[in-house]
Amino acid sequence: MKKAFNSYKDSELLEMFGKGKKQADQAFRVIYDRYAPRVHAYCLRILHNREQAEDIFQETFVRFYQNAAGNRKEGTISGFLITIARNLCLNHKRDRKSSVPYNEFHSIITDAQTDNKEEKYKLITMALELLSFEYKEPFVLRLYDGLNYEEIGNICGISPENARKRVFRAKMKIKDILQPYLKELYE
Amino acid sequence: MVLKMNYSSLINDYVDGALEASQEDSLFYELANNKSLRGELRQFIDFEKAAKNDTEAFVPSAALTSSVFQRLSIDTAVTAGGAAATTGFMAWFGNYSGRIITASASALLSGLLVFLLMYDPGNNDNSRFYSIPLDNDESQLYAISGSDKVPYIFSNNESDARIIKNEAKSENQNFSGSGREPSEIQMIKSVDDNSTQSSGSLAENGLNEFPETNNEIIRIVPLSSIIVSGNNSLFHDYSSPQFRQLEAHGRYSPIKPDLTMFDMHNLSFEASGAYYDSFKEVRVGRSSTPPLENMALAVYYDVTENLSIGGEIRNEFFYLEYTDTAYGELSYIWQNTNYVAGGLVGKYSFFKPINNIETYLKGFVGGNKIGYIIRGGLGIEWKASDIYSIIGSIEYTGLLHSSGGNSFYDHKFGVQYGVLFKL
Repeated sequence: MKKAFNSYKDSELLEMFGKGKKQADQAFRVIYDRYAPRVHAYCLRILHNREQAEDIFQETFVRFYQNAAGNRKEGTISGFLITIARNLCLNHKRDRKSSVPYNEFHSIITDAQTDNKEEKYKLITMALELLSFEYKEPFVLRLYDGLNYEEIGNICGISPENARKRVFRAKMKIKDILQPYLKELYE
Repeated sequence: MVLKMNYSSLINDYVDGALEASQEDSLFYELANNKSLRGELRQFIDFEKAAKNDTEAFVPSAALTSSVFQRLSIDTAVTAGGAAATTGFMAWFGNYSGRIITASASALLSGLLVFLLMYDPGNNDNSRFYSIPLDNDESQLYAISGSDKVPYIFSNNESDARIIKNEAKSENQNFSGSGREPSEIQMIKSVDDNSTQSSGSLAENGLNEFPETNNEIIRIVPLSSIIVSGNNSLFHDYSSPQFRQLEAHGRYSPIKPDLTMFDMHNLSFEASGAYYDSFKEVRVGRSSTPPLENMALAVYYDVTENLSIGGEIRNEFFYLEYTDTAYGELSYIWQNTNYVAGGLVGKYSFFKPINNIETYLKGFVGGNKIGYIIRGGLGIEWKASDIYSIIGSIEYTGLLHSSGGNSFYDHKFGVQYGVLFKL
């Protein structure tokens, strides 16, 4: 039975939310399996704090479940989930520091072994933390969540072209941040 | 600067898969002649790889998944998270049903095995026994299997023994065997000067009295032993109608194993279940819990009173973290595994039993299909009866495995519980 549900499209799963708790629960299980990684990646890489990210993550799925029955007109479930997570993250970030100061960043990675691939990837992830939300979000949505520029534009409230530019600028900013540490690798 | 920015944008489009064909030649030509630009291309590719390899970001913990489903009052029994069911008895049963079923199945299997080896339906032929060719120059031990059989011991005036009755083992004061209960011996007889006593089992066998001993005392020995001594024997006539020689393997068993080379009474069978926690934080949920997970079956042979060695097989769960190539890229891999493990096991009891409870150290070396396993444990055994004991232990287990040319070590800590059946 679970296998059959796994093959349902998003629209079919959303339909099940209006057919009683049992069917809603079954649909939710599939949706959770399908999209939990993306939502978790979004929350963690936007907030850079595991505890806060997990709270937001949990709240996102709870709110999704509570509202899924009345939102079958939504384009995609992933977009719906990310939108919920985004709004929760924005509310959360209003009064909180969302990035590591540049000086702190340098002190953290002075001993980085940049010839090691894993360390290099870690540095890139850490540099992401220094970006402002305006550039960090499209970068995460594109590279982590795999959304296209139109979907990113819908979520962020910008045009697809603007979304593409912001992703590009985010990459350039990360490149500049890491330039002193990865210079030997890339030149 | 403007030219470089344009090429950077083209690189971004190329990595995005959105570069127009008309711009490819220009970009590739520039890449071929511009080392710095090639570095930038590698960097943009690394951004993609860094996101894909950021597995910490993508996997919610099992606890987090559990909390989401609990808040929504959704049964998680069939989810990838594998979290507990909701409330009350169902929650408890959902948590522990696997282990209860495992332990019950272990006990049933082990009991069945013992039954197949030991069951003797009994018959009216009370004279069934092992026979050893009589050698008048030697004293020999004859034993008879089954609950209603009588051991006959040949000896001479140099030997020293008593035959012990099952119901009165506490009367055994001169038992000189291997430290185990002489369950193979069916009758008590106190051998006094010029007197004999016969037990009920002798009478049931049609022998109203034990043959006169002439002050002979009979030594209790394992079945496979032979007393080498002089010429006199208790029973003067080996071919007496009191004896009936039957098949060499007198013990009835549905599977009729040839175990005469072993002293079967030093064998025991252990069936157990276990519960473990990984030392590492479990980052990925279980897709399913296999039946009989962490169930083990072991056979022990008592080498000495304190030391038993044997073999064990176990359907064993491990949580692994390692790196390997996945989809062409080096990646962190978190995996829940369940493989059958097997190996050598040993137990050593280092204190005398108190109130039928003894403590032991246990060790295991073996492996499963992906690596080598070591295990150490400290346990207690409660000898509930002559036939079975209840065992429980705390265990540490390590798995050494390799992947992609690298070695990894994953370990866990837990408890084992089960039943030990003795022959």
